[in-house]
Amino acid sequence: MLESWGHTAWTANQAGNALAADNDQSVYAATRGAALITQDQELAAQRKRRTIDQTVLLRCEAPDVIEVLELHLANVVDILEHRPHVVIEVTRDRVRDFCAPWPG
Amino acid sequence: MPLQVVDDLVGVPIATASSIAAISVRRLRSWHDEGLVLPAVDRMLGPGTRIRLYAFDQLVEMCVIRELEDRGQDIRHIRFVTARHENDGIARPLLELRWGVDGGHMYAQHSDGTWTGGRRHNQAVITDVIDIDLIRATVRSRLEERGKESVGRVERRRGVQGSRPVFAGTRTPVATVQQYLRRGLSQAEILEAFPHLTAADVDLARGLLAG
Repeated sequence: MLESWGHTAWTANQAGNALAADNDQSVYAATRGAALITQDQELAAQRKRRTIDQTVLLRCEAPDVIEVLELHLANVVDILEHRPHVVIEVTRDRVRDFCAPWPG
Repeated sequence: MPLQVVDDLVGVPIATASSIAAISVRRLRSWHDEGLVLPAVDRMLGPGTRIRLYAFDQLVEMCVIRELEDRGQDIRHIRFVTARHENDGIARPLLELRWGVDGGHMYAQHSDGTWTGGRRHNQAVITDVIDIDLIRATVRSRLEERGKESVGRVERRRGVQGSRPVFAGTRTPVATVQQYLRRGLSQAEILEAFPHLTAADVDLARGLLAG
């Protein structure tokens, strides 16, 4: 879906880091200038406390993630373009963004 | 069919690098400290949390060093030789040169086909050459490999998905697949969405859901 909208996207498996810990994934994404898209609420909670990258948390059931993200993609992209360190929480109904008081 | 690893995207933590190159984490740290193989990313994320990520080429470099060691070369000598080539303007000698060993001496073949090394080139018959293409293929295969022992098993890993149960050797939570099953999606549809999983994984998730 992301590629059909013109974005570059890849999975942890394609990066060979499926076994990596959550912190590794965040640092990997940050150094690549990529946003980490996840359904892991604990990871998002960690990043809210210390924002080091761009994390997009999809709060919905797994089979709905594409539909929910597509619904709000324009808004999510707009936030990502303006905030280098941010956690964006996306539900079917709304998009909220968070930034730790001391990012980095 | 699992998605293939893309060389340019690879960025793996030190534990994964250790497993792929069959070199201990301690040695990799020491190679980092000594400047022999530097990680692509080295970042402190807080007290005691240091993130080192290695790119594909660095995994290949580790394997070349291991192959040279297996052929009797001492790590100090490897470091000395690679440093000499770096001083000659070759940025990544372990990758850019073709390495061979003969009678305890280490030789490097340059892009123009010439060899340099321990003895004068016309005195050496280099019979044991390290095949870097084979090393690259092996690294790629190890990155993609999910051990047979992992298939159809569940595990919890600290720092992964909040320590929730995931399919062993992956970071896919069992609960995620169970959400698909509750919606009535078929095994084929689930495996299409998660190409790194197997029918045994889906059966396991179904069994846990029923149980």
